[in-house]
Amino acid sequence: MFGLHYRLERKAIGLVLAIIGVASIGGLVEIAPLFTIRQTVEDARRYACLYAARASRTQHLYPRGVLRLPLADDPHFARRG
Amino acid sequence: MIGQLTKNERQIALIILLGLAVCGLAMAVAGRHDPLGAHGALVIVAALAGIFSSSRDTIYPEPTEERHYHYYDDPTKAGIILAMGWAVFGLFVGDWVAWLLVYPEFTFDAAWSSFGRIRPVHTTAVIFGFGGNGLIATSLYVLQRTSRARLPDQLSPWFVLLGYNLFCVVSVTGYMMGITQSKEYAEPEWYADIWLVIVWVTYFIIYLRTLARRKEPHIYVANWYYMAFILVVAVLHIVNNLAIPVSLGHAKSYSSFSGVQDAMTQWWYGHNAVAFFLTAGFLGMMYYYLPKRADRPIFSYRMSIISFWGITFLYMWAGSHHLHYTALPHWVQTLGMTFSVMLLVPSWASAANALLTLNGAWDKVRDDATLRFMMVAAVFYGLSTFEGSFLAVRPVNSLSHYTDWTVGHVHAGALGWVAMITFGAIYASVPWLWKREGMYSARLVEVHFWSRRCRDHHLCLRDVELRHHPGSDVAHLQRKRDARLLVCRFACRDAPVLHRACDRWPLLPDWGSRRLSTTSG
Repeated sequence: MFGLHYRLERKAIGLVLAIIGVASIGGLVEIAPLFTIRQTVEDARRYACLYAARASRTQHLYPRGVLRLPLADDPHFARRG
Repeated sequence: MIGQLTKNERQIALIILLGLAVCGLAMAVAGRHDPLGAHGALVIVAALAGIFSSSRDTIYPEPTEERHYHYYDDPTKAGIILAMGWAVFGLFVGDWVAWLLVYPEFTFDAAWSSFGRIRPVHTTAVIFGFGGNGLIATSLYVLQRTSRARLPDQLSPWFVLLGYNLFCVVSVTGYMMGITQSKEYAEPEWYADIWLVIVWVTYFIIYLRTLARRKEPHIYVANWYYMAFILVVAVLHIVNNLAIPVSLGHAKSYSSFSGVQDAMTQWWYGHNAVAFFLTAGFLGMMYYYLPKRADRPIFSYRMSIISFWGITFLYMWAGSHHLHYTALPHWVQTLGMTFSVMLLVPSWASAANALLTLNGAWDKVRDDATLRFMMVAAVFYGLSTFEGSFLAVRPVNSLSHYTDWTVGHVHAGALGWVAMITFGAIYASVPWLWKREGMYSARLVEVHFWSRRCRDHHLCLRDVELRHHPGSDVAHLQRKRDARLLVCRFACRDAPVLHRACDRWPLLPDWGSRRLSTTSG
């Protein structure tokens, strides 16, 4: 480590790249998975129809006649509203 | 200032200022029904002031070639003065915010002076105004000395310094008008963020160009830290401020992230703003000024390598400890907690390296208040980082979160570490820069040192007091008892300490002992 650093501190660009590389690891490991894992990503298939109909609750969809969207196939979700 | 620019640089400055005026005009016109318009007018005024100043100073002859044999220190001088101005303003507003906790009616029935608006004014003024100007000023000074190279040109440092201050002014005035992204330490809206990116990239280019011209084979340790500060702050700022404006004529924007991703990105930024703005940058300051003032080499080169890479690597994982007991997945919280505890190693390596550098120079610490500022800063750095690691542990956090313990921790770091090292660096630099034998009054520096110590001492005691009441309503406790505690503690604890100190330090005998014996009596 000391030898590598000794060489790095003679090259400004090398030091810059090393800092960016070392500093990026933490953020990548902690933030990137949040965009992919199920716990932290909304189920787009379920919510897209709500957003499209500008309705915040499922029952708002009935009078608009948009219950033929995929959400209507999930009676549990529809009951929860 | 303008008198030292070459003819070519003056022309470029004029073009930049005209461009800025056009941008301001566009903002003022597009945002005429929005607070953005007021900021457009502010930018026009700033640009016109610059144009007026540069056109007035064109009578100065072009500087001689001899300038290349001297370091270019004028931006550093201006930066120090600006930092002092922001310190006065920021601390005044901080005091006002503190009084609002006791007397909420101090807002004078105005929206701009409500707690939610002037609290970020305080944080921005002290962190970015005072701290940022101190960092820019000292980094340009240190860079030239440690590289034995003059800055590459004379215009870009001014662009960075004045552009950065324009960002601070736009931010602070924006909060008072209600313009905010509602992200802690990243409150400025999209147009201010874009401006800061331009300024910051220029700052980075100055650094790289000067390092490329250096006459020393190695890059000095202070510059590693300054480089990390500039680079990582740029990355954090750009990622966290990715947002989509409502329209080009509105100040309001919406973050590109939402939900838990937004929270995590914000605290990845927020915690590392502390790490790389308030820690790495000021460690760079310490690694130059402390050995220089003590006239001793740094204790251990290897320790500085361990602490540098340790801080650069470990800090970036620790942001999630701000989100304990939230919707953030448990494993991310645990990672944040674990890395926060591990951070103690590089942090204490830096603090120990600083204190051990003083081996053989403790007589100077006794006699020189400036060096004492730096010594105390290193001690507070060690203490604050210990407390920070401790607070990040989940069960401890369940006690401390939403109490003033967190606020006390931040202030111990900000006042004990950041402000002490900055004042130490400024007291060291000013006589060197202005070619004086010493500061105007060594006794006033002593007074400053001991009054600050009293304040920090009180702050830590209040911190302990709050820890003894973890379940209580801290704000209520504070309102009810703070004024009384302040007086009692000063009389019972701080004053005798100061009194003994005044006997110990012969520089402050008369004023100190007479005044304090009256108080304690």
